[in-house]
Amino acid sequence: MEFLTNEEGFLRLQKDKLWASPSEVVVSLLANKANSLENVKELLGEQNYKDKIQMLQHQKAATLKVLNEFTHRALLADEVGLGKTIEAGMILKEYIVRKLASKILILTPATLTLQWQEELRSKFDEDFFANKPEDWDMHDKIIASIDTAKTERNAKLICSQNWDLLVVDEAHKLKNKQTLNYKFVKKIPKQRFLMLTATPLQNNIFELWNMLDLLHPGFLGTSKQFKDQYIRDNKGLEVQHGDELRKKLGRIMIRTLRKHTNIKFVDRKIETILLDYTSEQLKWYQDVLIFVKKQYVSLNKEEKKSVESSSEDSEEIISQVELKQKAREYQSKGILGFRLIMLTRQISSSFRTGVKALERYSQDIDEEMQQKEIQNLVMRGKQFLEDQKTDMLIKLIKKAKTKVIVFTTFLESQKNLLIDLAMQNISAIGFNGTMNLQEKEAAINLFRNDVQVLVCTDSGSEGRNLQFAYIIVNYDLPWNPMRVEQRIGRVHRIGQEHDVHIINLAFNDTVEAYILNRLYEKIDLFKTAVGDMDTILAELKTTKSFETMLFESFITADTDKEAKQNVDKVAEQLKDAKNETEKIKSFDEKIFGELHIGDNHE
Amino acid sequence: MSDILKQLFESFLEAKEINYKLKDDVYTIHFEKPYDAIFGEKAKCTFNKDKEKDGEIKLIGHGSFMISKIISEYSDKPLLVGLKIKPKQKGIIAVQDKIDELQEKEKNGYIATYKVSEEKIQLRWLTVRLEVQAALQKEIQAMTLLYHDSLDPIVNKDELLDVNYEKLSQVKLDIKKEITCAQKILEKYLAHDLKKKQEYHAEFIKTETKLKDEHYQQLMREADMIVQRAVQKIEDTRSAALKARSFEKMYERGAEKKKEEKKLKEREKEVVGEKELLRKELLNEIDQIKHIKFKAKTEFLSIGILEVEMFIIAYSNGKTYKYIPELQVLEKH
Repeated sequence: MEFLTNEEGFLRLQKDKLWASPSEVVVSLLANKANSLENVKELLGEQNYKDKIQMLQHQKAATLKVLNEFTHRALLADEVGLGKTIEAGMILKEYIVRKLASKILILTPATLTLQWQEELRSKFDEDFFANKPEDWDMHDKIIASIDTAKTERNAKLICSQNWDLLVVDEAHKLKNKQTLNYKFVKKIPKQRFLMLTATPLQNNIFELWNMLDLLHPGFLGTSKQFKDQYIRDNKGLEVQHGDELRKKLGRIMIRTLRKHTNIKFVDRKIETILLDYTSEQLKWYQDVLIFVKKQYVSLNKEEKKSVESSSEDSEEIISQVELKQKAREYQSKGILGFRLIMLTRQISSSFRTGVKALERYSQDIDEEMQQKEIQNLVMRGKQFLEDQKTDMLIKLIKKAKTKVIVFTTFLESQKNLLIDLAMQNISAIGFNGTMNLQEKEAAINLFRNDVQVLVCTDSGSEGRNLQFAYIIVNYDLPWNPMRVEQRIGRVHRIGQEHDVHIINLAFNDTVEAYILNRLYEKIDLFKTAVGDMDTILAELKTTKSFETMLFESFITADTDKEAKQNVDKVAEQLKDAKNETEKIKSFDEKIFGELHIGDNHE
Repeated sequence: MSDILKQLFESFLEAKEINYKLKDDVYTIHFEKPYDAIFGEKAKCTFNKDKEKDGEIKLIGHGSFMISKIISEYSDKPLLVGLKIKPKQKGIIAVQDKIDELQEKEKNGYIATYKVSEEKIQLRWLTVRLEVQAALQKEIQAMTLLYHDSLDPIVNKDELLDVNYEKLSQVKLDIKKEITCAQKILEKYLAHDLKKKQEYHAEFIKTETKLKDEHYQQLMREADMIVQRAVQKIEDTRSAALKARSFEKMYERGAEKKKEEKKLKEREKEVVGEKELLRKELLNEIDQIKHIKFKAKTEFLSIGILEVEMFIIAYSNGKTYKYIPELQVLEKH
């Protein structure tokens, strides 16, 4: 046994005659008692997140179960929409608060790393590093995409460290022992291990054995023993001795189904309003698109600018971290390339926002001809007095006579909308990522108690529960389906009592209209169940962000027809991913329907 | 648990002589240096959820900044202890109830006589943080041990939280000697528990290694079977060629055999390659498992002396009890 006797410290205390007072001794006894992990009945971390999440009974039960009954290895396999990430966050926080984990690694699909980072930051006050692998060794808490982590160089770094906790999201991707991912995760030295998946079963039950053998080697015996004991057929589609298997799985796996929770899930009602531009407006819009296209093609390495030089845009998207990620993705075209995507989106949001963005863009252009072209577009844009989208929004709000959340991606649009609404005597308040915590709290309280409209940016709304409202207007449309889901998720969540109304505003013949009609409607995005979008996006076989895929569909097309075809291709990919998810769900239902692992929580 | 937190919070304020008022579950506190910089000069807080008011009265509890700060400060701070317990009841009154209880037990049909003597003893005080790291688990727990030559170690007594303490005026403590002694006591006290944990750890490694080994054997058997089947197939083709009725057929089957042989040789090579890879992988896994070390670490958080009153109840039948009323410790000798 190793002893850290602290001898020097005690000798110093004695020399300085610093004997503890009776009350200090009592405080120390109490502090140690309060910090003990023996039989956890209360969650020490709860105070940190209780205001930020609506903690559900099954989540607390699952957390306590993992802490008290499991061997610190668990497969969190709740059905979609029941908050597995929250459960993982609660367990993680508990380990941190109790000083049982300081070195933590979270591996997720590339599409979900930033979402994890945001959730842990906004809900659990935990800052995880999700950036360049070169800097990983300088951080103790890291989120990485499994594909980045497993490259030879990065894997070496990860496997040379002892992790107190490893979390793997979308763990069903580790269903095959022969894959590099499986072998990589197996090699990572770890004390505690959480695996998350909503679909622990995909093709056959042997895959579940593979996952659980990775989580807790030997727990279910060898694959042959497992097969002999629990599987009736060679394909691994029928189980036997179900009770025994259920008991065994209940010691390593948490599986809560919606039907076991009595949680009411309301419906979503979708309305898309497509407005018409005037002929001048349409011409202007198309001319800006042509300009963007020309710019994109002509960008070369000399025009690359560093990420830091474009701080104006950073306020308007999700976070600095995301900005940096996007900029990395666009390294070949420089930050200007990224700003062109934003510009395309800004002109769709509103004329005023688009014009402002053009003005800003012109500051980074030195070439005289291009400057003139931008100036011309700016001048023409400024002449549009009519704003059909805002007029429609005002009509909708007046008609609603209840609380309405208006989402826009851009601060500029938010600012203009607040002015427009005030001029119409509609009480409204803004909410965005530049506000500090107190300002945010005050805004939410005002919206809850006095004000009819909350005009919200995506970054502002993250992690907030606004289920006291049930009407959402998408003033402009995110190009990333996960963002759409997150917007809706602010109100369509557990605790919502009304059906949620989602109203999308867009102009005909714009990129947004394509996205709405050809992409989002194809996968029935707005009706996708809470939490399903994560699973669908994780199924998507791409290394690029959705926004990039869409932008490239337009920018690389020579004709309108080709652009539409390109968007259709993206839509097909998304649809395939959705179908795959559906298929998996039905097999899962078949086997776990028999096993009822969810009984653990009843 | 929140009672412990309340007690912790109030004890902290008292220990630091921080001015506070408690009214209707709400603490109004004036912090002075150095705590004003950490918690602000004035604070209103409560453990009662119903009393929480936005921006005015903060709810505190597990995980809140204030409580976390206190816990982390005190659970890591080394303390030198020199205390005595002020008895709530003095002399025979303190022990009367216990004697009544023992009388029932000891009389056995005759009247048991006894003598009671009282003495002050100095228990050694030791608080340690124990960290055990095994194959699947890491445990951290804090324990307070009181020990004395004439008694078994007294561990984690909740009564320590409810007694009245006084500072000992003169404490003589040879720190080096105390630490050496504490190490021995601790080792002896933890031996059984650690042995059990170590056995579990070793058992786990043994089972894991066995399972891996079985898995390895199974894979090797499977690979052998594939090779066997291939050899058999070559043999079958060869005998079919030899049994052919015509020369052309024989030639044809011979060519077929050669083709088949080539294909199967390739497969065999593949299987051997896979086998080699699996062998390496599994042996590596087995090696990794074998090298997971069992570690136990203790960190001394406080040492010192606690003076208590002990009663020795000696029965005429030869049995003797040692009783420390304030800690509810009763030992038969």
